[in-house]
Amino acid sequence: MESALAMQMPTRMTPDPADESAVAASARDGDMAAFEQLYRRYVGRVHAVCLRLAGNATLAEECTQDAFVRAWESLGSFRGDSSFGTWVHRIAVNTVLERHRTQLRQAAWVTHKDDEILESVPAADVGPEHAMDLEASIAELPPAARMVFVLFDVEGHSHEEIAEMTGLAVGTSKAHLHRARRLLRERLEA
Amino acid sequence: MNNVNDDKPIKAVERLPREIAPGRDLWPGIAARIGRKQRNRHPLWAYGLAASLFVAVGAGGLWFGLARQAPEAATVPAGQLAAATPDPQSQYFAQRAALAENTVQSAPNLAPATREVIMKNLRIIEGSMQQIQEALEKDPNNPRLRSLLYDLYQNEAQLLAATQQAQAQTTTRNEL
Repeated sequence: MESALAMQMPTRMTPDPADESAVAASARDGDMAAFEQLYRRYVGRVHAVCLRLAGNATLAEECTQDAFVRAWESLGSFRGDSSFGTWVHRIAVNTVLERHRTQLRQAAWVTHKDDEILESVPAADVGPEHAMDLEASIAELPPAARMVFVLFDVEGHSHEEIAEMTGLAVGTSKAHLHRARRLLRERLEA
Repeated sequence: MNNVNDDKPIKAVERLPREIAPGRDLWPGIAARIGRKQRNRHPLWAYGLAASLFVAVGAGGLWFGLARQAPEAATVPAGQLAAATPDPQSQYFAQRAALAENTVQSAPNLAPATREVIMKNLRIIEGSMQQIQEALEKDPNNPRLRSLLYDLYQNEAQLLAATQQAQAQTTTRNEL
């Protein structure tokens, strides 16, 4: 016989881990174990975007935690129109951008002051084709250039979407991307 | 001077990994934070919980009393997260966790899947409590840690109260 508790909370029965919508529904009903499944599935993807946008491991971990806590708090608004991964990824991007809001406001105009700082950093010993070298070079970009580069070239957002997310003008976003690519090429070819 | 190549994507970007694991497991910290928030959420099964909370709080007081009166009499089952040490506080923590799990395990009318969900949630809460307790030993006056621990105790009490309520309702239905 099914217990009264099970009758009262049918969505809290252990969901099939392969059925993401069922796992998300259980999490929405307060099942922390189900939410942990979603965390385990997407933490790598969320942390990757946080790390690249923030350019700092400690801040990236803080933002990853914040993103999942915010996702938990907002689960009631998750309707499953997109995958949970896409949804929490967007939350993560917004979390990092909010942390950098001041820097983004200051980046309304592209300057060359930071380029000099970047150019003074010695190049790594590994070859330019090496992904780790590119990761390190991205982390060393000036903040606004780094964020636009990651959002456009790595995450595939358009300049219009980036403008909406960051508050930068579309033209400024394009200028930061151009600058980021130039700085990266110079560094990778050094 | 601008170079036309600056407007082209960098090839190596395609080889960047889509996932990068963090340097440490972030889940315990997340679980502690959402555990604190959880008391403000009202899942469907939690309606009617307020009445049984009184029972759970009373039971908590009883456990505390028992643990203080006979700390050596209680048995900590194998597999508990009880890293039981001679420290009375740790011993109490382990005994309380064991009693909480026994409460769920000894409810005869719970469906196995339901019992499993409750046990999983209970262990998450207890694991978070243990970590916060360890942090408090290093920083005993940290108000945020104390607040988090308090919230986790509340969550545990709510979960146990819901279990008791479900068990009582099932018993009544069976009697009918």
